[in-house]
Amino acid sequence: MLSSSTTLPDVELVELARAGERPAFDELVRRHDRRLRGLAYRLMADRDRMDDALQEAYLKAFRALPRFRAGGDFGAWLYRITYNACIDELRQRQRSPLSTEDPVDPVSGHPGPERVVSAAETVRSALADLPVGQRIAVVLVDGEGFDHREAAKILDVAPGTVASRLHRARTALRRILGEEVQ
Amino acid sequence: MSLDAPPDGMIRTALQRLPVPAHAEDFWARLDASLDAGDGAPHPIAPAARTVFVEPSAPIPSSVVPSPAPARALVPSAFRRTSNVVLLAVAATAVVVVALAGRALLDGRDGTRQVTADGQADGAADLNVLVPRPELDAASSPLSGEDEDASSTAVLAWIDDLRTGRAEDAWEAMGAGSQAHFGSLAGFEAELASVADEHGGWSSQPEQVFVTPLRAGEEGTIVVVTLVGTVMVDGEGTTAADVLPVRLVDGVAHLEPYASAGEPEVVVPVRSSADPQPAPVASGEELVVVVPEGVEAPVLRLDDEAPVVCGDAEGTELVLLEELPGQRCSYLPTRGLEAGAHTLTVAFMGADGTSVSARSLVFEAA
Repeated sequence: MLSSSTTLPDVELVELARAGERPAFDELVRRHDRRLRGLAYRLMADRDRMDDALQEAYLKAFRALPRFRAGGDFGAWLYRITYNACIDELRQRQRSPLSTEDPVDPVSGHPGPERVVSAAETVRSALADLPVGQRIAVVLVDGEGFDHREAAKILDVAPGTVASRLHRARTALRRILGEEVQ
Repeated sequence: MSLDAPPDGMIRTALQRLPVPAHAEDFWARLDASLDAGDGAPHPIAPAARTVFVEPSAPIPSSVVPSPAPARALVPSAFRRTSNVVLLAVAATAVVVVALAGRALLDGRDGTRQVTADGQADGAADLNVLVPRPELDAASSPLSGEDEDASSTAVLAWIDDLRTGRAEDAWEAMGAGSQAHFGSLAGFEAELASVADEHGGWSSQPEQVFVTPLRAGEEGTIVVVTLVGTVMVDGEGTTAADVLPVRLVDGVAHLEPYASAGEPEVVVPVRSSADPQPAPVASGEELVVVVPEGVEAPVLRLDDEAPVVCGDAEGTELVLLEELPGQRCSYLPTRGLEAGAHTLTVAFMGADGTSVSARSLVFEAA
């Protein structure tokens, strides 16, 4: 890891990484990792599968760096790659079955307090029951704060498609979650 | 439904309750090792996303090894009928839905197609190997009503020939490509029973017949005829589909069920080895097919809707698979999949311009 690179903006780190500086790539990935973990975990509902998808995504990103457009939004680009890696992972393992792993503490990775686990499990289960297209739409817009057009750009679909999937996802989640989050 | 609607507060709260776990302890070490080992070495063209979707215990999809064997139909030999008159009546009364997509699908093609044109949304697209789009015959045109009728009638008559054992008639109804598959009439007669097993069950009045044009040229017009209806499996009626290629030359239909251009593989809907019925597909889930490398412009058709040429519609670009030979095409109707039964037809021609393959299946959308 380049200690001096931690204050550099993404665009400069990308140039270093494209020039072959592995530490610059490491820094880029770690800089965006938490957000991507959020995306991957909400999609996969399983920590091991989250890690598998992110391993794949980061490797693909490194391979694809030569074609990353200079000056582009690295975060959005990496987000898209991560999304695709997650979808591939889901398809590989069939329908995205609900994990049987124990819920984990967000920091330590170990099982957390029971009262936290209960609410988290309800949400995780509800998400896992959604079709993948709807799940990603609601995670991007309601979970990650993208607007419809940004989400559409990430997903490479029309904004109306995002709106449609989001509508159905919200309807299903409200029904499933019910009073749980009120 | 506004495109600018703000995040849903209740849903946002719910998502915030979902903790994001830390990586496993060895995550970064594994990533470093992979990068150090060269797994992540930048490539001039990065591979496509892995998409083949199989049962863990299932064999490698047959599509990855293009085979001269024809597509198989899921029609049991037990379900046969004896009346040619009934068949002809079926041919006359079947719902013939013709895709008048000739010009719409075949016009305006300009060779290589770019996945995306702007912005970082094409980041993942950069991972894919783009497949050039073919130049198709500009003389292509929508099917005439006579050609539609000729195609569907010829298919149903051929099936009846199989069922009633009229090998010579069935032989003569086939085109040169399919005849070459058997070599001679004697060779065909030797295989007649198995051929009848594959297709003979459609004497059971298909409820729908779709005629989908693929290409028009000097060698004739190539269409595929999709049959949808109820067949008997183990004594129980089940909805099934079959599809047969036909070459039309001067209004005469020649069946080409054995002029294979390779095996298409339907990845989604998923059909496991244990269950012949595909798993239900979610309304927002893409349909995914894999076709052999080198195949250009495969056509997907959902029910009797307008056919989609892979590469023409947004999101349907042909993408080479990363680890297996073959190329993927995915498709989701803009309004998603409506709940209920659907029929998916996949068809494509070989690079030689004469071979043709097709597959169809019935699935449920949840």
